[in-house]
Amino acid sequence: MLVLLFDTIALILLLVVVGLPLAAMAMLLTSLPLPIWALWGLAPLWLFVQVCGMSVIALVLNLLIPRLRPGRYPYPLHPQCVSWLLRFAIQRIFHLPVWSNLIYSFASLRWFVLRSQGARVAWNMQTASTMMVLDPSLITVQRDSMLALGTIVIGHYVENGLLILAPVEIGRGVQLMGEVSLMPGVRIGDGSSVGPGTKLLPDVQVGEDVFVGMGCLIQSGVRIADNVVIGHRVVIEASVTIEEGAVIRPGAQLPKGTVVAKGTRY
Amino acid sequence: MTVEALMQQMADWIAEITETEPPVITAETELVQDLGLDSLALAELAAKLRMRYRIKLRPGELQSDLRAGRLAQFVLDRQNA
Repeated sequence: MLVLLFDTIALILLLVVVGLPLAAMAMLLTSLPLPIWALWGLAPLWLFVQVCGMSVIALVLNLLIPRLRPGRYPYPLHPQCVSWLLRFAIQRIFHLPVWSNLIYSFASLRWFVLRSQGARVAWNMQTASTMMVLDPSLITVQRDSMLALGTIVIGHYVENGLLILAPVEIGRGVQLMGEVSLMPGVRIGDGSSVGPGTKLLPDVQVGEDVFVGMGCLIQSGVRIADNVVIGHRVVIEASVTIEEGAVIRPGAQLPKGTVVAKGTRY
Repeated sequence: MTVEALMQQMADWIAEITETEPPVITAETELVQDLGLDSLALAELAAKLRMRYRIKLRPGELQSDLRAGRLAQFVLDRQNA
């Protein structure tokens, strides 16, 4: 029953976010003194305008829906869960294949769409057209950062009947290579880079100028200080601390709770 | 600190990173092509330079010119800036 209710709400949101600007544009186009071939020829422009219109509607809706606060909430009936579900339904509209690649192919459109949903993203961030930012209102991406092909940034997860919401912060000049996953509560400091296929689980904190190799798994609550270098295919279990300037050799496995001292090689 | 002294320091660090004997480095030695350093080794070298000389050295800056002499000069210039 609850699923049907949320599906109905999602459909209404789809009609509002997509239908309203579409209707407005139809009125505009029928009033323009343009031949039919010109209307068709300008179709990509209308799609661009349509996405801008959708973003304006999303902006208004996101102002009306209560702001998300990081925390743990009983799922799905807590007011924060309802807010999250509504915001999630809106952001999913922008991931529909009709326009998602278009959105991420234009810096201005990408910035506007993400900002309209509450994301704090820099104008000059670079992304591939297939990256995915879920929960935009919990995401910060500072200037000069790059999110490559297939990158996924998520601000929520559901566990044991609780919805967990936490911000994800990506600093200045950060490079996330292909298919990197960032879970809720992850923070990456300025100038750091994360290699292809690496997964950072909830609440991982990465300092400044850190290099993380490809194919690593960094589990919950790991703390990585500035200037650390982590080799390829490293597995770091939960609650590990790596102090400044330490080096983790390729293929290493760090058991839960390990502390790697400053400047050492593990 | 001179360029020559910094290049010698880099040679010692490269030996530590690659776990081999210190290479002979001249100003024209290319770190990737001549010494075979990969992205991981370069990241480690950059981390050592940042920590020892307290400078900003982003990954992109390391990829633009990897001749030892120019890198040493770049580090010293940035330290004195």
